[in-house]
Amino acid sequence: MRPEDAAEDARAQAARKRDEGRYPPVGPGALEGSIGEPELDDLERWARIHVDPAGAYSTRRLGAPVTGVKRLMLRLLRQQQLELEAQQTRFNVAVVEHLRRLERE
Amino acid sequence: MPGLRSCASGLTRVHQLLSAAGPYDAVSGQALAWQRVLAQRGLAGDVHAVYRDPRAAGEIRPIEQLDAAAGDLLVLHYSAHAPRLRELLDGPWRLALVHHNITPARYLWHHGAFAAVACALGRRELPRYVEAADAVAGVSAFNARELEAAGAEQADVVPIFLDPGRLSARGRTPTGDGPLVLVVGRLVPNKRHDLAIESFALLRRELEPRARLLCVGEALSGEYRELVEGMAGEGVTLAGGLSQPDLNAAYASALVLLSASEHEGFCVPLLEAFAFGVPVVARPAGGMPEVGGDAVLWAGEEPFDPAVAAELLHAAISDSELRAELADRGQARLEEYAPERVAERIVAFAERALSW
Repeated sequence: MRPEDAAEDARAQAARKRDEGRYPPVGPGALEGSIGEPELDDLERWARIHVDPAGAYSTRRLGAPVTGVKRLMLRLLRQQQLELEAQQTRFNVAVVEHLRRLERE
Repeated sequence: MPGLRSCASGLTRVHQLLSAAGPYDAVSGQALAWQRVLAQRGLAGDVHAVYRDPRAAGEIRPIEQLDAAAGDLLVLHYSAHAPRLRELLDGPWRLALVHHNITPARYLWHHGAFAAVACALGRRELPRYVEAADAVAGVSAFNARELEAAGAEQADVVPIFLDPGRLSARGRTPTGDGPLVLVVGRLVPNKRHDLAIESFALLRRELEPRARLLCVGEALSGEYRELVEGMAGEGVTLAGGLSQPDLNAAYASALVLLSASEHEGFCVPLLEAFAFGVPVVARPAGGMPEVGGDAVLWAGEEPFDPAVAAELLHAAISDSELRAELADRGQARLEEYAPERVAERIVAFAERALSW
């Protein structure tokens, strides 16, 4: 078969087998619902900052000790991090509330 | 701003700059390739990145160590926002912008905060970079059009430099038997691994019960990898990033390369597959049609239909006449992107940026 004929043949085979119930209807794909610009509800959810310490890790070979040190430092600095998260969350929540008010008006 | 060296030596240096450098990503590979090509023409310099994965740190220096003089050329390989790159726009050096494309943030908002912000700001700030640059180029005509839309009067096309030498070493062959379908590209939402996995599932159920799918590429995050793992059925392996020898071994074992990606600035795996004589089934997205031309089995118009992709995969696996024709056409596409031709374009672009 020539490449030029392959696409047409594939479409015909797919349509025939779909008619026979062997292929499902064309869907958007499992990821489609999580692709797109953020909605106001997303902003509200993201406004509350919480950074998971599991995000601190090493990509080096044999990097487990480096990961351990990074997470220990996060624990030691937890007080500072909580204050930082709180200040950022306060700003974010206030902005989202403001957007909600604008949306209602 | 990183250090400004006096140009007492009179020698012009050309430095490559990146927002982020990783061990497997195409943009880092290109910056290193440009460095080698230009050094051979007497335009030596270093590669610097704002964010460096430790695995890439050996060849790529931190941006803080940039030592540039007035008259030097900075080649900015643009693929995402990074605050410290912006500081370099108004220096006394020449600036060349190479646009590798930026993933639209709509793919990333729900999956990776850091990447989403870097991409959203990267796209928003592209016009500012275009304005500051002495010369601009895209790695494909698709990317060049984006530069012109961002205000460039004239955007060159300097394609990806594929060094065939790096395809020769062979690492570990993927385990298992049965026809191997390969997907190569970072595990990120725009690559649409969900659709690739769905296509493969139909192929396996209806046409090739022994088929295997190997997805090669680093995941956006551990959480995103788990999400894709949840979609992967029997016969699917998510290998993560592979070293070049291991990737070469995977290409050498594969019967077909599949891409369901929705956004690509160029798509290096197309050229790699052509080099291994592996047929390609792909969605005609972004810069891919101009790279793949008539050597790819294009999975039709939108929306992407996994059933059509499954039928094309089956044809690419089982029809020897079709495979031979695609291999011949792939070789012809490779000649378009022959290293010596691309090297000439890199050098011409750099010289033009220096003489602007």
